[in-house]
Amino acid sequence: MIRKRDLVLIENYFREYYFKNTDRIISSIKDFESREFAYIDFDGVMRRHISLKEDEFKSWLMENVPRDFYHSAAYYLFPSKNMEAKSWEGADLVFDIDLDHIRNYQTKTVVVCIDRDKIKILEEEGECNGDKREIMLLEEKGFEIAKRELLMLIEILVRDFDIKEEDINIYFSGGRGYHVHVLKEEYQKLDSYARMEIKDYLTYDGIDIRNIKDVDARPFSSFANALLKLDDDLREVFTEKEIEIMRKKLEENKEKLLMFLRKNKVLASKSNLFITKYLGVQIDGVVTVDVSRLIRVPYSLHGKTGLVKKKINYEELDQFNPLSDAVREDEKKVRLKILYCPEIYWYDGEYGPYRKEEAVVPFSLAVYLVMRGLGHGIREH
Amino acid sequence: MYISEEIRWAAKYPFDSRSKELLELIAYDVSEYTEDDLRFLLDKAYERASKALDHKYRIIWDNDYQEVVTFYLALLIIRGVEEDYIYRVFSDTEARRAYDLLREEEDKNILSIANNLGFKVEVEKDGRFRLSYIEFIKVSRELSAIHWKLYNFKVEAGRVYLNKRNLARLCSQRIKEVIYEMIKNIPSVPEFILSYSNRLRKDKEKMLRKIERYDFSDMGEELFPPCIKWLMDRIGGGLSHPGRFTLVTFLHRIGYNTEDIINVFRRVPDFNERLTRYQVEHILGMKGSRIEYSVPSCKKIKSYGFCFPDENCRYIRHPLQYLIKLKKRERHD
Repeated sequence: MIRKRDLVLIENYFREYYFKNTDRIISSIKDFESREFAYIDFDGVMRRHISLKEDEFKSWLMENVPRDFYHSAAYYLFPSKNMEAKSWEGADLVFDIDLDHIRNYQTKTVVVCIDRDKIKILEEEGECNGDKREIMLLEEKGFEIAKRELLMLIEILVRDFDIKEEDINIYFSGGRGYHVHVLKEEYQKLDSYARMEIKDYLTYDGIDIRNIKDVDARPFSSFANALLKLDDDLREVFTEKEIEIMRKKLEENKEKLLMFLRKNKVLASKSNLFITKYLGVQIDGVVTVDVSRLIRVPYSLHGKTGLVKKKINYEELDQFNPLSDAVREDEKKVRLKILYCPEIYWYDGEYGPYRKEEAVVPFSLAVYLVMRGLGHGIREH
Repeated sequence: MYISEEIRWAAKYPFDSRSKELLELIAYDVSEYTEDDLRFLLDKAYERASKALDHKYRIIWDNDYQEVVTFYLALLIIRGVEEDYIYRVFSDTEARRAYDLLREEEDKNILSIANNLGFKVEVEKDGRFRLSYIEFIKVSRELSAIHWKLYNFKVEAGRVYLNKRNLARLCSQRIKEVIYEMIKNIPSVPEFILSYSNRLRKDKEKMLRKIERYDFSDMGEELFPPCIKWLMDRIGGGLSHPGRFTLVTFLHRIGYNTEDIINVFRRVPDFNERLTRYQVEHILGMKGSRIEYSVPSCKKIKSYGFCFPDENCRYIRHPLQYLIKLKKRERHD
């Protein structure tokens, strides 16, 4: 589907980026030589169990340009051996916020029909004799929703877990969300079980309100808060009457409400549902729990978006917009035959909407469109 | 502090480092307990050990000194039995005893115990205790998981807030490990103590036989009864509630821990860790005793619709008997 010539040009664009950013990548990975590296090359083949030396890194990168580039959250004695022989020495505590795992976000998509060599956009109900495919589109709205979860996550890490802001490394993931890496020594040795507890503390997985030991426990006080503020989502789970009864109890005090729920099976299980569904932080828990997880390399390029996995300072988070701020600094523009691209703010301005036309766009936007089959024929501008 | 107070402390918490120092000061050489006037202490120690194996202990006594000494002598007797399971039951009972005492203890005392056990605990003005949440996660995993999940507690600035009862429970978990280690670390047991140990072993013969009979840890999946095999094969397609219940209780009963069981369910293509964990813990938390979860009987399983008996299922009424039968046969082969 993706044309060879386009792929070669994209590979060159990646190679040139990596040539200039080798040092920045090294300095963003703590204990570089204890990590396992992995990558997907431009033929789409995944390669794992790679260990790298800092001084050979640049030449390795030039030879094996990764389309998608990962390192282990873990530190190993022997990073390149197979899983059993690696000898695990610890791992960063990592959190992944990804739009795929966010309940209240409906991904924007476009449906295309691919019929042999022809590709066309299907409006609501077009005829398609070929292969019908739904293509995910990036949009600012999605990033803002992900950011809300990210802010909740950071607040809990700081307030409840007492992790200092300087130990919390926030990254735009390069794709559809954010990564948080906590590099603090005391977390490195935690096993999966301990990480699971931390994950559950954020997501409230498996909560049973009747087991709450303290009215100031976060899930319960958040629930009380939602009742107090008459959170709109309450009505998704409770009837007006139920909300009223619970609010009455709460007006006396939190203990009364908790006691009441302990005795009321129906409301307790509805509360459990509400708490996990609407109050927990929506992270992809598996990433946090798996102590040998591979995670995208900081300052690498995302193969499907051409965007940089870029570090964000906490103070800048509010203003951060990946579609302009995570484009490589020395971006250049190219000419591209575009099948479809909705109106989008990218890098330095508005682009699109394009429909079956040729346009000049930032290279990263070209990568994004080409990799999704929405564009082809990259040419120098 | 007066020596009597110190002895009082040691009588209550003989595993505490403070008590160990005292003991070195006041105890006779072990061999002297065979003297006629001290022999009754060995008998009392035997009684303590024996009762502990029946999960019995006392929290009221009249002679502090005797209470201290019988603990240490009981450790020796227990060690002489040379049976890990016995070490564990004894440690468990003694830790329960400590829990009962700690619950009623003054703040500063429970604090001192907690700190000696390696917990860095602080007291709040309102009498609540604060413990590092990382520390909490590390010890709470041994306790019944649902109730001790971190999110059931208040957590602030890296500390979990605990009441005295919670703290006592966490301490007793650590105490169990400490006592177990004390037993394991005894290098050798004098001859005259061994006679007590042997007597104890004989006394508890029935109990030991039972554990041996119920130790299925060496039995692989290929030896499972057909109903369980059937369930294992169908995990991927999703199990009914009774099916899941049967499988979880069975696996738990033969020695799988929560993590092992969850790993079994990982075979499900749309494996949902949250849901699985919840279900598994719910099933395991439903019945109190750690030793005997009830796995449904063959009759029940038949009514659930997944009883597919093979020749080894003849004359048995319970899936665990299937394993016992195979084990017996193995022994005779």
